[in-house]
Amino acid sequence: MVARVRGARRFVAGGTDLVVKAKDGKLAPATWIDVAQIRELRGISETRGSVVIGAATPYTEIIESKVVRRVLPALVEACAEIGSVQIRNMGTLGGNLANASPAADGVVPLVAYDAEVVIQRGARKRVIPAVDIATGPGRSCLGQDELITEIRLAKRRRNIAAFLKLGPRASMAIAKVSLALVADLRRGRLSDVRIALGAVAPTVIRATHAEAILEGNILSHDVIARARVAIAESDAIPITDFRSTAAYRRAMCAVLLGRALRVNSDDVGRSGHNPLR
Amino acid sequence: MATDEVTEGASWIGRSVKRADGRDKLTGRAKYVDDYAPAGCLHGATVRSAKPHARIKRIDGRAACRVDGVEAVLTASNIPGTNRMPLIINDYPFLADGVVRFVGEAVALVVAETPEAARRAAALVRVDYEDLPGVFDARDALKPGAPRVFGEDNVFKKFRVRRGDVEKAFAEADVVVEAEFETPYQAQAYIETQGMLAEVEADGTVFVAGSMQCPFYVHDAVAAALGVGQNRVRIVQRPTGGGFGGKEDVPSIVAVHAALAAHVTGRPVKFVYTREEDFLAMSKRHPAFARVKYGARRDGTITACEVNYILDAGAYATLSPAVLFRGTVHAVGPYRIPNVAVDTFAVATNKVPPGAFRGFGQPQITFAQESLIDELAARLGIDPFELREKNALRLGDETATGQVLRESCGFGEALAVARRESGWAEKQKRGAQRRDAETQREEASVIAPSRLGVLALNPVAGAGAGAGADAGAGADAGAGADAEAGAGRRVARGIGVSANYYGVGLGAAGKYIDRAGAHVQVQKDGTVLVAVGNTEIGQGARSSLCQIAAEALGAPFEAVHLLDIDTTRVPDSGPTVASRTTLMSGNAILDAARPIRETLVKVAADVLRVAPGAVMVDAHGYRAASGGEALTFQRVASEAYGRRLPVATQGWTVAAPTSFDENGRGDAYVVYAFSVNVAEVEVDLETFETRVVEVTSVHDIGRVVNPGDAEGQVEGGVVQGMGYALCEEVVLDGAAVKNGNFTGYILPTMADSPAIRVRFVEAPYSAGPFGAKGLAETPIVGPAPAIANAIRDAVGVMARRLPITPERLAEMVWEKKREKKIGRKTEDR
Repeated sequence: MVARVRGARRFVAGGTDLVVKAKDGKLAPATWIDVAQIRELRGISETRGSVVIGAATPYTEIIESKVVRRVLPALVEACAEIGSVQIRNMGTLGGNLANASPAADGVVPLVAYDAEVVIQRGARKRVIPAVDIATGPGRSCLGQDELITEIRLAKRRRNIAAFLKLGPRASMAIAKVSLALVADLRRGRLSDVRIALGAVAPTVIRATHAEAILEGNILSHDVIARARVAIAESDAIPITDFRSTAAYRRAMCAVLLGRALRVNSDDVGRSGHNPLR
Repeated sequence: MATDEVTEGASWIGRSVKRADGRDKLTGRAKYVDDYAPAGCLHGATVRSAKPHARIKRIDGRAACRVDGVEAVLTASNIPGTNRMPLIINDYPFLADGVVRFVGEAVALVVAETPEAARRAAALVRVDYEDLPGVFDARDALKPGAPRVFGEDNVFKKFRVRRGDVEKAFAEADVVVEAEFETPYQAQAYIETQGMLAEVEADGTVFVAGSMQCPFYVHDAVAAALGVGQNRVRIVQRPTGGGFGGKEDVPSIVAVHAALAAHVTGRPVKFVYTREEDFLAMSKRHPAFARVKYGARRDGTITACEVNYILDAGAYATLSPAVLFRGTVHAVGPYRIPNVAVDTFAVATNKVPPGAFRGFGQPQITFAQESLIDELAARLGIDPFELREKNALRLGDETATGQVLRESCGFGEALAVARRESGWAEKQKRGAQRRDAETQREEASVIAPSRLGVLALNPVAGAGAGAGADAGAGADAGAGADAEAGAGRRVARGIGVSANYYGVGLGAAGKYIDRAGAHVQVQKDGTVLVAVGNTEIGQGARSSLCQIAAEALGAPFEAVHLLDIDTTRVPDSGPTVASRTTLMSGNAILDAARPIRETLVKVAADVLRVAPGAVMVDAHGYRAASGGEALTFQRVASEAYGRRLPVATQGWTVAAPTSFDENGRGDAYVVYAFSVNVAEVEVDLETFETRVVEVTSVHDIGRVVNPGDAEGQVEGGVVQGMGYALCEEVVLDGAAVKNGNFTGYILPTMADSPAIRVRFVEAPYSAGPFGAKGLAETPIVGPAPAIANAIRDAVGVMARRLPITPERLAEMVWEKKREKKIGRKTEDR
């Protein structure tokens, strides 16, 4: 059906970024194909080992989903930070991924959760890690007529999950720095650590240096201090633009990492709460 | 007042009546300019300069004309009259003729059947330029040999104020403080972008209606540009979605574009700007630089103030001379200072021309001088509130220009109310205790060296999870104390005060246009029509003016209808600016109502069979002083018509005399409003984000006509002032606006807004309507310095630049730590 649309064409799922770009004259003319109402692309399902989110599921539905709240709390926190109520009623994770903004709030937790993105073109399917969808600011690996159909997130035993963001104001803010952290903390020792950073590189990235320092180690002041230095100095590669400065962004990567560990370890320490039960 | 008992509930003044225009605006029934689409209406788009300074070699509109639906492409050569906006210096062309001086300047117009076609075609108009050297910093523009934007020296206007002997005073002062400050472009960010609709009526009258503050400026501009008599031009203000000064002068440009296109094509033409276009080319608050110096005696008496104040006025003069005047008069702050030297400059650069924005040249300089007052207080070891109280202007004192405050000075009371209501004393004490504790702690702590530059110098960055060496240690909750603020955040609270005064009306800089007219007409059925020349731009003028008319006539508020502002109804009443509408249009209404009321009193006396002197008038109608049933206004009006008496009048008022000589001596404004703001902030000690927790905003505006609307005005001003303090900044990349939309330009949201406590002090002004002065602008002047001073209280650094973003605050704090560290190392050696 898509092939019957002549000339340049582009999928739209929510349009909260695309409409703004189009009004700004930043998009080449194309026929837009609205996929937001396709039933197969919407909804959230749970299997024994994973949660599958339809690419055109609006953020509001994700935020309100019991399954997502239980299994993927950092994703809920991130989606709740996106735009305004109106934006969250329209915007989708599929759109957020395809838009390939380095500051995409929805993508940061997906990267931390090792999400896999299912991309379809006609009958052909391929599965790409969320971290690899964007190839640069506003550029993605999606080819002609390729459509993101769903996002798969494996359920894993992790009791730490956080999404933290610094924006220029209390709401409706584009991130200056954002960070998602998921890990498992047992008897003071961290494992399965995944950290994703937004707005400090050309795409959303994994903070692999900081992860390596934390992985398998006791959560001591020294380890945290070293991880903070690593995330700011080795992982983040921010720029200075009118939204923030490189120096501030670097420093804030460390602050957010410390904060994510602090809040979560306190929680675990207090209640032994495990989001996976 | 003794009569209060008798007239309790009988006056319309001081009542929070519902906004006359509230329902229509709330339900969407109000029709803004873009809601009008007369048959055959064309749509305009503007071709704008991509160059900051260049000679136009050629404009080629052929490709644009070939676009389907395009009716005309117009340039400066199509303007039949004068191609200069009539204002103060008259240098701003409606369409560039020969030279462009900023990125975004209007070069040509395209009119087409649809807005889309017009925009598409506008992009196809080819303009060949020859680049000229540009200048983008006002300080550079003042240097000899700088590229010339205006005149011989790039100075649009300069003022000076001289009082006493500053050199001697500084030499004799016990303490002298001095600092430089910088403030950015701020956008008015009105919700409705600029828009105008013009048509030429059958009799040749040019009719322009749209979004504006100052219909008479538009009237002057359209008549001049088309070269037609002012009696053949009619301007009507449509409901206007905000102005804040941004709809003062530049709507004249939009109106002339629409009128010119209507004149050429013979069809109605509408121009409605996109937000980006509005940001790019419309007016803003002037970026400014200020160097301020205060001298004082050890006891806190301020003896001298020196100010050097530069406004970056952009490519054309617009209102800059008047903006500069206001900044000049208020430059030293609301204090009794015997020795003053103020030098101010409005300087041309190749950037978008700023113009009017609420506060009009005062917020910039007040941020600077009020920040420095806190520095002075710190150096003297005097409480910042006490220092202000000690030096505050009181009745009988002279301002910096030598104006004696003869009446209506509620400043002292405003200071007292603000101090009490904000809980200053207690909160300030806690802060001082915390600072003492902090100093001891800092001296004891050693900052571990690290290979991570800035992080090492940020004491929290090197600290571990939830166990920073000094995290929340010994802190008590509440203002002035470090506290855990949830989610592991560590914050410092601070409290700050600022004081300002505000000259109501146009003052000596605009005295020749400071007049206003009104037409009041009582109908047979007892309803009332009122026409004035000042506009409703969201500030609540409709309600206040209807209340004044109702009070003056003894008519029910609901019976009074204020007509849409139309230049054919009353003579040129000056602009709707400078917090002058209540005062000027209010007085004009009083002038018009006086003879009508006299007539109605005589009629009532006749009906009641009492002498006219024995008739009492209040909100319930007309009655005999001796008692008995009141005659309704409706009844009296009807009786007046039955007697064929005139009950329609033109009123007129002129502002009291003002003066300002070449040394800045004179009665600069007719009267002053006074404001005191106290802000409490919470600064996150890791991210350096500032949250304004609470603002107490106290104002002496004379008699308050409508307390509800007045409170709303203050709340809006506080939030706008907070935006100026913390996040709002139009960023230019050399010449062009970089963040010209609401994604990039950061306005505060409701989620950022503090709790706001508004209080009024009413020191009546004898020449104001029922004692009123003016309110609209003063609420935005004080919040930024109060917030800056609160941040200083929280983290110990004085911001010299707005907005105080987390990035800038972090840099300042880190820099201070670096200095301390270097200082310690030096001591170690």
